[in-house]
Amino acid sequence: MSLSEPVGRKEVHARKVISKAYLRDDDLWDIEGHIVDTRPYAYPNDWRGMVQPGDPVHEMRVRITLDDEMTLRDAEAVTIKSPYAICGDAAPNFAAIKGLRIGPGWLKDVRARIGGTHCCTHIVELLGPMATVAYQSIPVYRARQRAEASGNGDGYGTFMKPPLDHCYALSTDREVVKRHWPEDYKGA
Amino acid sequence: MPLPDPVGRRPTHSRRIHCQSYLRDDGLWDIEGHITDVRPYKFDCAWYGECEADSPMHEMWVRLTLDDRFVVQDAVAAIDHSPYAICPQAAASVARLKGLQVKPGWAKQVRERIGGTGCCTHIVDMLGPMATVSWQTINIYRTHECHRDGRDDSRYLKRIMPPVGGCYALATDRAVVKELWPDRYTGD
Repeated sequence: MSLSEPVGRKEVHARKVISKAYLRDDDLWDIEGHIVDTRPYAYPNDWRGMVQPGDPVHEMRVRITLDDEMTLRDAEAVTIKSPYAICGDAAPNFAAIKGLRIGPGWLKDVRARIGGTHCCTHIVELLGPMATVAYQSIPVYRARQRAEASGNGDGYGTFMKPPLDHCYALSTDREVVKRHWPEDYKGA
Repeated sequence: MPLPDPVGRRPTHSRRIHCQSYLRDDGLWDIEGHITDVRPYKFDCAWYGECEADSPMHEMWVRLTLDDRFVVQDAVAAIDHSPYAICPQAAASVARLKGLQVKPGWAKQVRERIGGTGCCTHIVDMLGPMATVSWQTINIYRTHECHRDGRDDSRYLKRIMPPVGGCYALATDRAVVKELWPDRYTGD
């Protein structure tokens, strides 16, 4: 790793967020999310008693099924480990986001349907990285398929353009845009 | 309980975000984030360059050093894998987070200081779960230390108050709040 060497320290909490995309045999997309929170020390919990080191504080899994237009055809979630007995009752409410489309305003729509006390915070948190994974999967994979079908050797640059001005490298006044999309370049 | 069995499908993208907190020997906290994006196929695109199958297309690290009041004492980042040669230049701007406090409104403050073309999108993506991990770490571990050591420290020994009203289980009209914080209960 290329961060500097850390000072002496000990682990206190770990959160793992994994999001995976799959192209289904029926040509729809599954985007799955999995979140796990663990601590390396035992602590008391009103419902579970002493939670042992490494036994997840939180563990939830989510699957959304999208079409090529990023509309949610299906949405399901399960709560595997939680701090309160009733947390798992929140998972079925996740289905309320069916029909939404990932795009501008998506998170606002999500909050309106399953935000606050409607669902589980950690399930909703998964939808941020899952939306990113949908963007990193669907248009890219389809562009690659179109490039292959056309025999275009330069890959899929012709078939898709990344979002400009959303990050440092793709700023319209920097060299990447100047070189690849000179018509969008706004620098000197 | 797992999710229902999936239909036939093949993987197209995997994003992993691992956040780990540490208590340092000097009493400060390190919250670290590590993100990787991997695709199971080789892609080669004029503007993106070449990326081998199962090799990270994105890999970034962030370390926030916080004090007990959640104020950022130090912030560093590193970019190990990225699509553009200039991406790693973006890492230095996370130092602008120094002095901010992790509290409600954190995401907005982060965007103001390093959003858009100011930094790397994937580094910023990690700062949400990292904030959650700091909440899951600092007060909870300080309370754990008091119980473990039998110390009567009023700063920490008062029961850690979870975000009542913030999620399904902690709705003020549901059973958990009725039982544990009856003064906050708003049901009948």
